[in-house]
Amino acid sequence: MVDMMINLLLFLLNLYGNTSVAVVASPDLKFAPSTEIRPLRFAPVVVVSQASVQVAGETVGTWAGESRAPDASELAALDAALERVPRDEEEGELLLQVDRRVAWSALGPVLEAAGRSGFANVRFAVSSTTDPLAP
Amino acid sequence: MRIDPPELNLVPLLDMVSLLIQMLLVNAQFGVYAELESSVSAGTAEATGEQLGLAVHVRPDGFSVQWIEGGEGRERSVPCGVVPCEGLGAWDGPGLRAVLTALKESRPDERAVVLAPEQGVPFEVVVRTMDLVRDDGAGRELFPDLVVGP
Repeated sequence: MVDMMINLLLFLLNLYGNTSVAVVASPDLKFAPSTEIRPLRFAPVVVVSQASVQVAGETVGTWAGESRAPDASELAALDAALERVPRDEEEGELLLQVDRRVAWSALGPVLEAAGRSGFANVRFAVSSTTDPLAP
Repeated sequence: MRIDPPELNLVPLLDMVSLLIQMLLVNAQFGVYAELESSVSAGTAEATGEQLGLAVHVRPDGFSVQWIEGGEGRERSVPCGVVPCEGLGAWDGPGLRAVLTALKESRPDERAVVLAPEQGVPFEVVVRTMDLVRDDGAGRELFPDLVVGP
Protein backbone atom coordinates (compact mmCIF):
# COMPACT_ATOMS: atom_id res chain seq x y z
CA MET A 1 0.00 0.00 0.00
CA VAL A 2 2.71 2.46 1.01
CA ASP A 3 4.86 1.42 -1.95
CA MET A 4 1.94 2.02 -4.30
CA MET A 5 1.34 5.48 -2.87
CA ILE A 6 5.00 6.39 -3.15
CA ASN A 7 5.04 5.24 -6.81
CA LEU A 8 1.92 7.30 -7.55
CA LEU A 9 3.45 10.29 -5.82
CA LEU A 10 6.66 10.02 -7.84
CA PHE A 11 4.68 9.71 -11.08
CA LEU A 12 2.60 12.77 -10.31
CA LEU A 13 5.61 14.80 -9.20
CA ASN A 14 7.35 13.90 -12.47
CA LEU A 15 4.26 14.92 -14.45
CA TYR A 16 4.05 18.17 -12.53
CA GLY A 17 7.74 18.91 -13.06
CA ASN A 18 7.49 18.42 -16.83
CA THR A 19 4.57 20.81 -17.25
CA SER A 20 5.80 24.35 -17.73
CA VAL A 21 2.46 25.93 -18.66
CA ALA A 22 -0.90 25.26 -17.11
CA VAL A 23 -3.36 24.33 -19.86
CA VAL A 24 -6.79 23.22 -18.79
CA ALA A 25 -9.18 21.94 -21.44
CA SER A 26 -12.89 22.22 -20.71
CA PRO A 27 -16.17 21.82 -22.62
CA ASP A 28 -15.80 25.48 -23.65
CA LEU A 29 -12.14 25.15 -24.58
CA LYS A 30 -11.28 22.16 -26.74
CA PHE A 31 -7.89 22.39 -28.40
CA ALA A 32 -7.42 21.89 -32.13
CA PRO A 33 -5.46 18.75 -33.09
CA SER A 34 -2.05 19.22 -34.70
CA THR A 35 1.02 17.18 -35.59
CA GLU A 36 3.19 19.79 -33.86
CA ILE A 37 5.20 18.44 -30.92
CA ARG A 38 7.07 21.49 -29.58
CA PRO A 39 6.19 21.77 -25.88
CA LEU A 40 4.38 24.82 -24.58
CA ARG A 41 6.54 27.63 -23.23
CA PHE A 42 5.49 30.29 -20.82
CA ALA A 43 3.99 33.52 -22.18
CA PRO A 44 1.07 35.76 -21.26
CA VAL A 45 -2.09 33.81 -22.05
CA VAL A 46 -5.07 34.92 -24.11
CA VAL A 47 -8.00 32.48 -23.93
CA VAL A 48 -10.61 32.54 -26.70
CA SER A 49 -13.22 30.00 -25.64
CA GLN A 50 -16.93 29.46 -26.20
CA ALA A 51 -17.59 31.01 -22.78
CA SER A 52 -15.39 34.11 -22.85
CA VAL A 53 -12.35 35.94 -24.17
CA GLN A 54 -9.75 36.49 -21.46
CA VAL A 55 -6.46 38.36 -21.48
CA ALA A 56 -4.14 37.28 -18.66
CA GLY A 57 -7.15 36.12 -16.64
CA GLU A 58 -9.25 39.24 -17.24
CA THR A 59 -12.52 38.71 -19.13
CA VAL A 60 -13.00 41.22 -21.94
CA GLY A 61 -16.01 39.78 -23.78
CA THR A 62 -18.03 36.78 -24.89
CA TRP A 63 -18.15 37.24 -28.67
CA ALA A 64 -16.29 34.05 -29.61
CA GLY A 65 -19.09 31.80 -28.37
CA GLU A 66 -21.56 33.84 -30.39
CA SER A 67 -19.48 33.44 -33.60
CA ARG A 68 -19.31 37.16 -34.26
CA ALA A 69 -16.70 39.89 -34.37
CA PRO A 70 -16.28 42.01 -31.23
CA ASP A 71 -18.15 45.32 -31.08
CA ALA A 72 -16.44 48.66 -30.43
CA SER A 73 -16.66 48.48 -26.63
CA GLU A 74 -15.34 44.91 -26.56
CA LEU A 75 -12.46 45.88 -28.87
CA ALA A 76 -11.61 48.82 -26.58
CA ALA A 77 -11.61 46.48 -23.56
CA LEU A 78 -9.41 44.01 -25.47
CA ASP A 79 -6.93 46.73 -26.45
CA ALA A 80 -6.81 48.07 -22.89
CA ALA A 81 -6.25 44.60 -21.41
CA LEU A 82 -3.47 43.83 -23.91
CA GLU A 83 -1.75 47.13 -23.06
CA ARG A 84 -1.66 46.05 -19.40
CA VAL A 85 0.03 42.73 -20.19
CA PRO A 86 3.62 42.82 -18.96
CA ARG A 87 6.25 42.00 -21.56
CA ASP A 88 9.96 41.40 -21.29
CA GLU A 89 11.03 42.44 -24.73
CA GLU A 90 10.23 45.15 -27.23
CA GLU A 91 8.21 42.70 -29.31
CA GLY A 92 6.27 40.49 -26.94
CA GLU A 93 4.83 37.05 -27.44
CA LEU A 94 1.40 35.73 -26.54
CA LEU A 95 0.18 32.19 -25.97
CA LEU A 96 -3.29 31.85 -27.46
CA GLN A 97 -5.52 29.11 -26.11
CA VAL A 98 -8.29 28.99 -28.69
CA ASP A 99 -11.28 26.67 -28.82
CA ARG A 100 -11.18 24.59 -32.01
CA ARG A 101 -14.73 25.62 -33.03
CA VAL A 102 -14.15 29.38 -32.84
CA ALA A 103 -14.74 31.07 -36.20
CA TRP A 104 -12.02 33.23 -37.69
CA SER A 105 -14.38 36.22 -37.60
CA ALA A 106 -14.07 36.09 -33.79
CA LEU A 107 -10.33 35.32 -33.63
CA GLY A 108 -9.00 37.61 -36.38
CA PRO A 109 -9.77 40.81 -34.42
CA VAL A 110 -7.89 39.37 -31.41
CA LEU A 111 -4.78 38.91 -33.58
CA GLU A 112 -5.19 42.41 -35.00
CA ALA A 113 -5.39 43.83 -31.48
CA ALA A 114 -2.32 41.83 -30.47
CA GLY A 115 -0.41 43.29 -33.43
CA ARG A 116 -1.52 46.82 -32.49
CA SER A 117 -0.30 46.27 -28.92
CA GLY A 118 3.15 45.17 -30.09
CA PHE A 119 2.76 41.39 -29.90
CA ALA A 120 4.22 40.48 -33.28
CA ASN A 121 4.53 36.77 -32.49
CA VAL A 122 1.80 34.50 -31.27
CA ARG A 123 1.87 30.86 -30.29
CA PHE A 124 -1.25 28.73 -30.51
CA ALA A 125 -1.77 25.97 -27.97
CA VAL A 126 -2.80 22.77 -29.75
CA SER A 127 -3.46 19.19 -28.83
CA SER A 128 -0.57 17.13 -30.15
CA THR A 129 -1.59 14.07 -32.15
CA THR A 130 -0.20 11.89 -34.93
CA ASP A 131 -3.50 11.92 -36.83
CA PRO A 132 -5.31 15.26 -36.72
CA LEU A 133 -8.22 13.86 -38.74
CA ALA A 134 -9.01 11.19 -36.15
CA PRO A 135 -12.31 11.94 -34.36
CA MET B 1 15.71 -8.62 29.77
CA ARG B 2 14.96 -8.05 26.06
CA ILE B 3 13.86 -4.57 24.87
CA ASP B 4 11.80 -4.38 21.64
CA PRO B 5 12.73 -1.50 19.31
CA PRO B 6 10.05 1.20 19.16
CA GLU B 7 7.69 1.02 16.18
CA LEU B 8 7.80 3.86 13.73
CA ASN B 9 4.44 5.65 13.48
CA LEU B 10 3.80 6.09 9.75
CA VAL B 11 0.26 7.44 10.02
CA PRO B 12 1.14 11.20 9.86
CA LEU B 13 3.47 10.54 6.92
CA LEU B 14 0.76 8.64 5.05
CA ASP B 15 -1.73 11.42 5.74
CA MET B 16 0.65 13.94 4.24
CA VAL B 17 1.41 11.78 1.20
CA SER B 18 -2.28 11.17 0.50
CA LEU B 19 -2.98 14.90 0.70
CA LEU B 20 -0.09 15.59 -1.67
CA ILE B 21 -1.40 12.97 -4.11
CA GLN B 22 -4.84 14.53 -4.06
CA MET B 23 -3.39 17.97 -4.75
CA LEU B 24 -1.26 16.69 -7.63
CA LEU B 25 -4.15 14.72 -9.13
CA VAL B 26 -6.33 17.84 -9.13
CA ASN B 27 -3.62 19.85 -10.90
CA ALA B 28 -2.36 17.09 -13.19
CA GLN B 29 -2.41 17.61 -16.95
CA PHE B 30 -2.78 14.33 -18.78
CA GLY B 31 -3.29 15.67 -22.31
CA VAL B 32 -0.30 16.25 -24.57
CA TYR B 33 -0.20 19.86 -25.60
CA ALA B 34 2.10 21.64 -28.00
CA GLU B 35 2.49 25.09 -29.50
CA LEU B 36 2.36 26.33 -33.08
CA GLU B 37 4.41 29.46 -33.62
CA SER B 38 3.52 32.16 -36.10
CA SER B 39 3.91 35.84 -36.75
CA VAL B 40 1.03 38.24 -37.06
CA SER B 41 0.72 39.91 -40.45
CA ALA B 42 0.29 43.68 -40.36
CA GLY B 43 -1.59 43.59 -43.66
CA THR B 44 -1.42 42.03 -47.09
CA ALA B 45 2.04 40.66 -47.75
CA GLU B 46 3.77 42.03 -50.79
CA ALA B 47 6.48 40.09 -52.52
CA THR B 48 9.54 42.01 -53.63
CA GLY B 49 12.23 41.11 -56.14
CA GLU B 50 12.60 37.38 -56.54
CA GLN B 51 10.37 36.47 -53.63
CA LEU B 52 7.62 33.93 -54.16
CA GLY B 53 5.10 35.91 -52.11
CA LEU B 54 3.23 32.74 -51.26
CA ALA B 55 -0.20 33.11 -49.66
CA VAL B 56 -2.72 30.42 -48.79
CA HIS B 57 -6.29 31.60 -48.41
CA VAL B 58 -8.48 29.35 -46.30
CA ARG B 59 -12.04 29.76 -47.52
CA PRO B 60 -15.32 28.16 -46.48
CA ASP B 61 -15.31 26.36 -49.87
CA GLY B 62 -11.65 25.29 -49.97
CA PHE B 63 -8.09 26.59 -50.34
CA SER B 64 -6.71 29.15 -52.75
CA VAL B 65 -2.94 29.41 -53.28
CA GLN B 66 -1.46 32.63 -54.66
CA TRP B 67 2.14 33.35 -55.60
CA ILE B 68 4.33 35.48 -57.86
CA GLU B 69 6.03 33.91 -60.85
CA GLY B 70 7.96 35.90 -63.45
CA GLY B 71 6.58 39.12 -62.04
CA GLU B 72 3.00 37.98 -62.49
CA GLY B 73 0.49 36.83 -59.92
CA ARG B 74 -0.63 33.20 -60.15
CA GLU B 75 -3.47 31.44 -58.38
CA ARG B 76 -4.55 27.82 -57.93
CA SER B 77 -7.77 26.79 -56.25
CA VAL B 78 -8.05 23.61 -54.22
CA PRO B 79 -11.79 23.26 -53.59
CA CYS B 80 -13.45 20.91 -51.14
CA GLY B 81 -14.94 17.71 -52.58
CA VAL B 82 -18.37 18.76 -51.34
CA VAL B 83 -19.31 22.44 -50.97
CA PRO B 84 -19.82 23.85 -48.39
CA CYS B 85 -16.99 22.09 -46.57
CA GLU B 86 -18.12 20.35 -43.40
CA GLY B 87 -15.73 18.74 -40.95
CA LEU B 88 -11.98 18.95 -40.65
CA GLY B 89 -11.32 16.38 -43.39
CA ALA B 90 -13.49 18.13 -45.99
CA TRP B 91 -10.75 20.58 -46.98
CA ASP B 92 -8.48 18.92 -49.55
CA GLY B 93 -5.23 18.57 -47.62
CA PRO B 94 -3.45 16.27 -50.11
CA GLY B 95 -4.42 18.64 -52.96
CA LEU B 96 -2.96 21.63 -51.12
CA ARG B 97 0.22 19.73 -50.30
CA ALA B 98 0.63 18.75 -53.96
CA VAL B 99 0.50 22.41 -55.06
CA LEU B 100 2.90 23.48 -52.30
CA THR B 101 5.31 20.60 -52.97
CA ALA B 102 5.54 21.63 -56.64
CA LEU B 103 6.20 25.24 -55.60
CA LYS B 104 8.85 24.14 -53.11
CA GLU B 105 10.62 22.13 -55.80
CA SER B 106 10.79 25.18 -58.05
CA ARG B 107 11.86 27.51 -55.19
CA PRO B 108 13.69 25.40 -52.57
CA ASP B 109 15.04 28.45 -50.70
CA GLU B 110 11.63 29.89 -49.92
CA ARG B 111 10.38 29.29 -46.38
CA ALA B 112 7.67 31.88 -45.77
CA VAL B 113 3.94 31.58 -46.29
CA VAL B 114 1.10 33.91 -45.37
CA LEU B 115 -2.08 32.23 -44.18
CA ALA B 116 -5.21 34.26 -44.78
CA PRO B 117 -8.28 32.58 -43.29
CA GLU B 118 -11.70 33.97 -44.17
CA GLN B 119 -14.49 34.88 -41.78
CA GLY B 120 -16.46 31.66 -41.38
CA VAL B 121 -13.54 29.26 -41.19
CA PRO B 122 -13.21 27.39 -37.85
CA PHE B 123 -9.90 27.67 -35.99
CA GLU B 124 -9.27 23.91 -36.22
CA VAL B 125 -9.14 24.21 -40.02
CA VAL B 126 -6.55 27.00 -39.72
CA VAL B 127 -4.42 24.76 -37.49
CA ARG B 128 -4.83 21.89 -39.98
CA THR B 129 -3.67 24.25 -42.76
CA MET B 130 -0.64 25.25 -40.67
CA ASP B 131 0.26 21.55 -40.43
CA LEU B 132 -0.21 21.09 -44.19
CA VAL B 133 2.02 24.00 -45.23
CA ARG B 134 4.87 23.22 -42.81
CA ASP B 135 5.85 19.84 -44.26
CA ASP B 136 4.79 17.34 -46.91
CA GLY B 137 3.75 14.65 -44.43
CA ALA B 138 6.83 12.56 -45.19
CA GLY B 139 9.21 14.65 -43.12
CA ARG B 140 10.28 17.03 -45.88
CA GLU B 141 10.04 20.71 -45.03
CA LEU B 142 7.78 22.92 -47.16
CA PHE B 143 7.10 26.44 -45.84
CA PRO B 144 7.70 26.48 -42.07
CA ASP B 145 7.79 30.27 -41.51
CA LEU B 146 4.14 31.06 -40.90
CA VAL B 147 2.59 34.49 -40.95
CA VAL B 148 -1.09 34.61 -40.05
CA GLY B 149 -3.16 37.40 -41.49
CA PRO B 150 -5.91 38.66 -39.19
